[in-house]
Amino acid sequence: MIELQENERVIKAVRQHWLIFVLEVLFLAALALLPALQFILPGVAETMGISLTLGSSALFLTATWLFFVWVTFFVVWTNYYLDTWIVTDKRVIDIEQKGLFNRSVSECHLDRVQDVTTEVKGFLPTLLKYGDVIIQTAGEQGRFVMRNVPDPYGIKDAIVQAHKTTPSATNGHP
Amino acid sequence: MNRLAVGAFLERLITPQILWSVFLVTTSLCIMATIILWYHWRTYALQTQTMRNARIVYVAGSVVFVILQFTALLSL
Repeated sequence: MIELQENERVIKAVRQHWLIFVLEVLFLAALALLPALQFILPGVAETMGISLTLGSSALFLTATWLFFVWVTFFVVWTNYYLDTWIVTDKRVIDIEQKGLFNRSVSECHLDRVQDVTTEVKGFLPTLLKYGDVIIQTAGEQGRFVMRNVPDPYGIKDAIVQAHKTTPSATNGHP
Repeated sequence: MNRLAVGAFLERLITPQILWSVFLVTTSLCIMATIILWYHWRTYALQTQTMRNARIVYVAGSVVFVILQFTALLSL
């Protein structure tokens, strides 16, 4: 969990667009449907003179497979849910969750922001209004990229507005 | 017709002992995955209603699948 500094206010907390999660879930749904082949394949095999009836162990194998897909779904959901960007009035925090054993948290202070760019590329991103927000900073990290976020223009505006209120932008006068 | 009994061959290959081993391995893996997921949910996520619901759905679904596996094994 992220500790906020004194007088720090969260402006936006965003995850990737829901479509990114749905695409992964569609793949898992296709995997979940694989056991249905046991109802189709024996019939096809029968026409070729091959008996392919698995019997009672088929139920066990199906349950095991679906259990595996079920746990994988929650791993994917956790990755999606915990992969967050938080924009506050002082900094942008990037919490990157890659799998269950790879998590990185980086932050960029708004007074170091030099430039904020929005990129919406492609048919689906244009239609569903999601894209990348690229923050150019003066720090070591250089670029700070928020990938596939919904409403990238709104996020960019929020960052620019918050940046205008930082002490460096107002020459120390809030 | 000379039929290739692949199903019968598989049925002989997949013995109850092997299926019990698969059951034990998958259940152990699931318990490990659950502990890791639980740790992530408790440590990193805000304790929102979504998170509480996700936990309930996950546990309920997992229990259903374990019971289904167990029932299938007992009916062998």
